[in-house]
Amino acid sequence: MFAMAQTAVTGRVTDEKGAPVIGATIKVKGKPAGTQTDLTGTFHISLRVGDTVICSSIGFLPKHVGYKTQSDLNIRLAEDNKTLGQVLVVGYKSQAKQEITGSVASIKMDKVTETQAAESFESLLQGRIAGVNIQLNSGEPGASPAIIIRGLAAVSRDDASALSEPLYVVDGVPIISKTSNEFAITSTNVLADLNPSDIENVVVLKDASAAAIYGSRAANGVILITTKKGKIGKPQINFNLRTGVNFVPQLQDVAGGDKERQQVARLYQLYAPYGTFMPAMYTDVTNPFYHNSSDWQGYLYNTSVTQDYNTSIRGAGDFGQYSVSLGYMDYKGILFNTGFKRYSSLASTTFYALNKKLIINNTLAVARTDQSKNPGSLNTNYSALLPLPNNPMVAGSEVYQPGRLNNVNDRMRFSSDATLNLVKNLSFKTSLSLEYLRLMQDSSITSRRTLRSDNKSGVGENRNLLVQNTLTYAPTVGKHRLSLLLGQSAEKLESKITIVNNVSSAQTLSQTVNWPQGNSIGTSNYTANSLLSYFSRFDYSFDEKYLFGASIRTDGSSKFGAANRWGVFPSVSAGWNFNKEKIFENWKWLNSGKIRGSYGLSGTTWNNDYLALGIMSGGSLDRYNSLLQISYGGISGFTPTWYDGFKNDNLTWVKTNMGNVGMDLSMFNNKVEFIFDAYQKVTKGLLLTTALPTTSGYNEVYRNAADVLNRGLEFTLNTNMNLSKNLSWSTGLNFAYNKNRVTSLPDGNADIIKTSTSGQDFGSIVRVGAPLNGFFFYQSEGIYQAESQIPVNPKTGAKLLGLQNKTLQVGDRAFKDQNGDYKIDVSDRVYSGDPNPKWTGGWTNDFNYKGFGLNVVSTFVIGRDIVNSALLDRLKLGKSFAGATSLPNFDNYSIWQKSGDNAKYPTLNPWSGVSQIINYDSSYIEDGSYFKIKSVTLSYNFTKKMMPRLPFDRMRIYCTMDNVVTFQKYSGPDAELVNVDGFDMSGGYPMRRLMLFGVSIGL
Amino acid sequence: MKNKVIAMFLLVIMLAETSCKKWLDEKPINTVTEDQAWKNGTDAEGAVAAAFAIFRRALSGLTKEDTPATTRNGSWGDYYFWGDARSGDWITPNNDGDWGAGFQNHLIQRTELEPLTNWRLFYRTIEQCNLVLEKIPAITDNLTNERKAQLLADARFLRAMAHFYAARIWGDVPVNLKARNVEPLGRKPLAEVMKMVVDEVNIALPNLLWDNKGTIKQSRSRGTKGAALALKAHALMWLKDYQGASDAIKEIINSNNFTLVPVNQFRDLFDNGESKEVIFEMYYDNTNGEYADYYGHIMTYYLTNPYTSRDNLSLAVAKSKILEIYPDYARDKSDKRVPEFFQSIDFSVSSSELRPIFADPLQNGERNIMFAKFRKVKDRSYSLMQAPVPVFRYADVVLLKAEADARLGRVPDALDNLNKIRSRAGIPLFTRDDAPTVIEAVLAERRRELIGEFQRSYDLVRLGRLHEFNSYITAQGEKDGAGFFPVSEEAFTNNPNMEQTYYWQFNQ
Repeated sequence: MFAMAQTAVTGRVTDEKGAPVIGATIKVKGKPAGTQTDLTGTFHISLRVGDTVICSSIGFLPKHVGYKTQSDLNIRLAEDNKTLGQVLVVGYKSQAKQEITGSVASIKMDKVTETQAAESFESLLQGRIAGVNIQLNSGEPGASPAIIIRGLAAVSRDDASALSEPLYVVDGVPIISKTSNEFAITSTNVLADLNPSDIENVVVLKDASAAAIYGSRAANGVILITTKKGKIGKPQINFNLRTGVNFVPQLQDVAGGDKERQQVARLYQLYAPYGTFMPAMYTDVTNPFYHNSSDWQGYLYNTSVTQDYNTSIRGAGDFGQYSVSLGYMDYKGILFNTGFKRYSSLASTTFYALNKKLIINNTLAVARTDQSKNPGSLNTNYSALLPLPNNPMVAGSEVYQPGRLNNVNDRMRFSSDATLNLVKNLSFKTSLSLEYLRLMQDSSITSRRTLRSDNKSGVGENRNLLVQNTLTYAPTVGKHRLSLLLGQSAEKLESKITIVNNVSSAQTLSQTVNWPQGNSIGTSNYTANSLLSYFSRFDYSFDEKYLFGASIRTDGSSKFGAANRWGVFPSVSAGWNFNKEKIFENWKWLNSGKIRGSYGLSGTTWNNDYLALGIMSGGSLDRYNSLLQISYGGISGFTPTWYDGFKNDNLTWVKTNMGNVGMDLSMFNNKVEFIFDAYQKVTKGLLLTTALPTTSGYNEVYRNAADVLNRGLEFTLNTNMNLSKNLSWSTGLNFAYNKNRVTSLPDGNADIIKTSTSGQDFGSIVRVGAPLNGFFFYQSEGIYQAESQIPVNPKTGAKLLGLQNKTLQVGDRAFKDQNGDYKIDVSDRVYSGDPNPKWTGGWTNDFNYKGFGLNVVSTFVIGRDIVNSALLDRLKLGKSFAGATSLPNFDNYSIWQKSGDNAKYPTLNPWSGVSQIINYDSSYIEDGSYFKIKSVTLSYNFTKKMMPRLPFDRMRIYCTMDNVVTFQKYSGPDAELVNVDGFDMSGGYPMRRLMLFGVSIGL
Repeated sequence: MKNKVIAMFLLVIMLAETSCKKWLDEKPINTVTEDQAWKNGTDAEGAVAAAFAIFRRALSGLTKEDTPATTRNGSWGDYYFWGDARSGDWITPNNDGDWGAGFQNHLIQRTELEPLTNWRLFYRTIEQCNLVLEKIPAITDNLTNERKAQLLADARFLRAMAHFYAARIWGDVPVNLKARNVEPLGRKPLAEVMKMVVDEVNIALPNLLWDNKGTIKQSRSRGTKGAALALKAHALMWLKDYQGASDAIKEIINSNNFTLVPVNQFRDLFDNGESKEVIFEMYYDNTNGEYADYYGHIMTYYLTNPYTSRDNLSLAVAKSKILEIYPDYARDKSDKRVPEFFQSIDFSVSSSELRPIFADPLQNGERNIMFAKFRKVKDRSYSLMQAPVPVFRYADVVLLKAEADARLGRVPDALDNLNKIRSRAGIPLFTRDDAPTVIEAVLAERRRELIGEFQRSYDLVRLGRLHEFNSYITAQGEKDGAGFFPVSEEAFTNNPNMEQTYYWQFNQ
């Protein structure tokens, strides 16, 4: 055996565009020797002819090159679109993807922002990650999407629907992602000020082992955002310009002009009590004011324009890196007076010092969002008989109230960190972050008749201060790779609001309150909480084959009394890269395979910072400014806050235990990737209020009382095929199954019946065994067609009594008297449906042919029950229905009028004491499944070759259609515009259809 | 170099650790927490005053802020509905359905009446007193032992008072003498409650003063010896311990702290509360910003233009009833109280002007006489009221002693006290001396003297005679508890020990 002479050679590694790839690993097959490329992508190595060079780098597909001639060493690496970066940020550290043992998903944002447009990055993630259910349940510009990771784990109280919201971390710093209701002055999505184009990637920590390092705030999952940084090479200057048109979708069905008059006349003829006459607007046919067929929706909804411009410059070198970006978005809403604007700027720099021993990062993010709305909710359903505001007759009449409402959010976030490499493998990082978020709202509403204005101004300030210190020790000894992290952090979050409003006696053109005395009233409030944490994470891998990880975090929170202040959140996980075992050696098709499992504990808290401390109240002015509640004989003092002031010393974290097993497979030259996860999430001690006996003086006490179980499966399948030389097709399909169940409630699992503050007895029921927000409805048995069908109590001879003691009549809804007491009331409600989606997911497809690209994104929900409450609200006619609102065209709905009508809706008698149209009627539950083609993008990439005269490196033009088509069984407009509780709120704001044209240029 | 770096690093860690000690002590600035609320004398003064403030609202009724279940838009001057409305003396000239249901004892039927059946604010008053009695003993900062004892006695008095007042309304009521007591308490028999009231008053009495600091109104809107003795006497009357009641009132009389003021000083008594006749009243005064809103004070419903902006009378005593109650006035217009208590307004004048008041109080027709015993409004346009709400006054206890003495057979003593009241009113002295007649005369006099002062219904219920005056209540009904208010639905929440009054289990 004799060896051929080795020669020292020089090669260069570039990406597909010819840019150098820095830090790529160069190895020779079968030999231990290896090297790395330098800043220019160049490497030096000794080779023999015939050697196989293996070149790999993060984010690229590895390449095997047989060395024969020098030209073979100009290696061009293809980007690895599938693994989406092999090193992921996983919470206080980065980890190679193949060593990750938790359930972690990652999305490269560039791919997304190139094909979709939205105000906030979360809505762009819809349908992209298995188990992350994102629903855009309002079409209003700047509205918050609902994000639920691995099933709902929050109990709705009062009238609001609760979401279990994840923790958001940007570049290692947890940010303010929402403000508690009391302090939320603006309704804008707080996260919409993050420009999606500034984001490099988003990592979602789904299971407890991944999230537990974030301890007390991680139970609902953690979303880690990494912003773009400069890359070594020549400075990259990018422009991305796009503009588009928002089209109005299908609106509500309205009976116009004469049809409305006929319908009203018919209702009066059928049901009006003796002596009740139609309002003048229906009878006074000679009055031109009432002689219209106005299309209010057509007037108030209009096609609008969206513009989105982003530019950035990024670069890096021996000094460090820099990245500066600017963004401007102007999204005009389709509804009159609505819209959303964002101005954003992000500057990030890195400096190396002490011979690269010290690395200093500074990030400054400044953004403003400006959401315009109509004060209150602008009705678009005025009677069609009334003249439109542009009609000269309308001057001075109270047809609609013009007004303005502006929500302005300003966020400034500065974070600075320094990493010091103390000795080999040991580094210390300290960081400081200051965040300031100001929310401002100014609104005015003017009566056209009295010319009086209502003005309100509010300012909310939120400040976040965060100090973090971590120490990392990561040695590699032979095949043993170890990583140990120790850390500490301290955080303080303060919120403050000031609101002033007035009712002026004269017309005012001001949107601010400028009446210094008299009829103006102001309030202010302040709240703060602080968190002190110590955490540690340990990861070990043997031969990259056997993986083990453990973490522990202990959090102390000011929200708890001193006795119950600290919580401990541990986790363990393990993984096995089984493809590296000998027995799988022959499975050439298998590129990688991993089985992993984890178990851990994480927590959540609540919004009210002082709940556990026993809040006292000094009383408040009553509405005539009397001090009756505040003082007695001029002496004022504190009393307990009777609602939530009963001090519960035992109040503690909501704890979530989660177990997860999963498998990652990559096959056929990484062309097919399959990921599977199964989890069980037990959330214990969700915060609930339970009523106290009145004799205690207190109303209720907060307790850690409800337990909820979520179980689910997640599947992800990614493929990347070359169908022919020029045509490639890649697809990503993910779907997740989740089942939600309440497992325990206080007081011997007694039902919790929430009485709605607005309604009669209507409100949801939380019951053990049923899912959260499960529908407990009256079971419909059709409509009474004859008097004889109304059940009669054989003992008393009394007829069945309807809801709210209504005497039932023919044409009324027949509800089943479940308990046989001949009275329909709350106790007759039975479980009738589940608004939690069983299956959620998404499917993306990319076709590339030469420079052309076609991208299709779809999302779906399967197995969800929803209620078409938007229509029901319009059919609920009260005594004064005539002229109050527009009416749907009754011909389109089957409404009972006379015996024998095979109708879906009972009689619409507006004079009946109790409406027969109620939301809690089982017959209105519909299948809420849908499949939505969310966006379709056609793009074309120019190359330098094609445009030799243009001074660009890169240019791409594209056209995107957003909200393309929805396939659904649901009879309402859009099965996605439904809140978490399953009720259709599309009476609010429909989802626009967008046609967007864009060009992106790289210099 | 490396050492320097490590030294710096250790320094940073140390600094971080030392500054973290206080990091988690985050307290609110817009209010205080339980730990902060009981520190010094000012806290103690405030806490006791706050208990009285809650009791004041308990009497004028629950407001929307007090309970989300409240179906009406604020309070109604509930003390009137408990203490007067069902006495049979009242009408609602504009046929208000809620008032009518109240007069007719249909107390469950109408959801608007629910707050009348809800005792929540009584138990809030009691809980505040419980907290005071638990927390104040430990306070030393800026609080003398003498003042501390007074404050504790004051809270003890109010706690007894709240139990007493609730027992008069609901009969058997739960007794709660422990702070943070979330046990489901059942109802205690009325006699047991009254016994507890007497015992508690006896404990409080030694540390109470005859007069607190300030004006009469300031002084006597808080616990005093007089108020405590009056409370004790009333409670003993319910226990039929007439000797004890008579003795307690004797102490009040012998203190010479109180007088029966001449009728021409009634405005000081009823409008300003600044009168030597006051024993215990609820403080209202515009100068301290403490006035009742439109709904809070029952005067809103008695009065109209020219006192308030209302057009019509909502509550009134029928003219024929006035003549029946005040026979001396019917005969020769001699009873000086009638023109003080009633007025006739010239309703023919437009409501946009100030309507004149006729010289003859009973000039108007049957349903149009205004009850004007209390008529101090703060602001006519918003009908804000500020007259104090009387609880006990000297004339009340003098007549109570007359009843007690008569029942004990001490007729001369009884007549003496009865005639003090009659002579002040300018009507002939009562001379018959058989005890039952004298007792009837005292009751009739209490009706005349205390009309609209939240005493009449309690007198009748105490004696089991409500059915004689209110035709909607039967003798058997009253035996079953029709004289007491039903217990609100809310009291049954999380309280398996709660029981509805027998009568109200079957009646609406």
